[in-house]
Amino acid sequence: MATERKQNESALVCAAQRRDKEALQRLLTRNWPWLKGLVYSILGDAGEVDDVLQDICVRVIAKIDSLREPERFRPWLAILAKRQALRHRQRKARRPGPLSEELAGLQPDEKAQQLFEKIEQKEQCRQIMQAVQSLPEKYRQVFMLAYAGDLTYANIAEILDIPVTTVQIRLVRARRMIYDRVSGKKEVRCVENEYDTGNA
Amino acid sequence: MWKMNMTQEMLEILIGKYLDGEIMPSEQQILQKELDSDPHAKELLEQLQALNERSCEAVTTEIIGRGKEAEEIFEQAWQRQAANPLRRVLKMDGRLRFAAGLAAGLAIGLLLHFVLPFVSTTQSPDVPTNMLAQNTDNQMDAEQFTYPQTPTDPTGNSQRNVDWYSFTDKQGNQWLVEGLRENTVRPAVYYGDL
Repeated sequence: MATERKQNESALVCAAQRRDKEALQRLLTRNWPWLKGLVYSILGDAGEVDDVLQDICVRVIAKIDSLREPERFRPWLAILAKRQALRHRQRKARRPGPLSEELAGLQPDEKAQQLFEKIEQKEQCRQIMQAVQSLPEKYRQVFMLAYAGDLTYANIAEILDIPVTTVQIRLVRARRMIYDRVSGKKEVRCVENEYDTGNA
Repeated sequence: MWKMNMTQEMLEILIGKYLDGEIMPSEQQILQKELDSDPHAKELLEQLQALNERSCEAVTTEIIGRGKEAEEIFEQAWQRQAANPLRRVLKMDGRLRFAAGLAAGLAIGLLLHFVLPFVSTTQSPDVPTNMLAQNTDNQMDAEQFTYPQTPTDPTGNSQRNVDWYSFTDKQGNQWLVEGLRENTVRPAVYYGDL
């Protein structure tokens, strides 16, 4: 199954390298969910994800013919996406920030959302996303790939170029940190040091 | 019956694998035993299951379901790329740059090859006297040349009287040495295996 997927993807890469627009589009759209999750895990702001995704598309279109191993498309795309997202984050950090966090927090739609949001489920989602944002980056990346991309451990390991066992452990720890944060047991920052003793 | 002493993290890994559909049958048996025997494990499973469902919903609504469609973003990126034909030209830049670098390197190499020997023979610094004096193992050849004195310079510059010696060093190379009458010695011409 995985081999078939890889062969299919390799064929698409070869076609994309011959400037086949449709192949390129299919290649990107089939990897879209995890790509979006990965970018979000680095930016931590859903509102900016689309801009970075467009930059990533431009880079992929321009650089696809430099990919020497078509079967390694996913790791290549992940590296390219991470680089682009980090660049965007650095550029954003250089820009002057808003006057205060309170003002930034009072965006009209968010304010309205807070005012009218009475559904418990929605509130829980918001809390979970806040907890995800406060995770250390390496845990956040694995978590987002698992949930946004619906990928297997082996796929995540391939994309992030880490062992499968590391994926398992990071995912478990990410869940634990999110659970502790949402249930108000511990602050994630304190927990991070506690969990961060190993390589995982 | 032997019971495995399972740590909290091991239990969470098994539950995580179960939730992600990655659990092996043997692992599932171990998890089942743990759930049957430990009410805390069952509670943990329920908590993590609920978190898992909420996390799926949260990521889907807040991230995946938000923003523009993939096709739309790709189309915009394609237009952006097509609108900048310079990029395609610049794609050759790497190869061109390599060729230019190679040519420049070759030119510099050739220049150094022809200019350096000339510079070193015409502008070589004077060798300190003791450099040759220390080389006491080298024997001066018996043959000693005495060249005629140079005529007096009509502009009034001082006249130098030089003697020419030849000697063979330990490696068998022959040297012609210019010996100034002012008790200084400097190497002149090497004519070993020429």
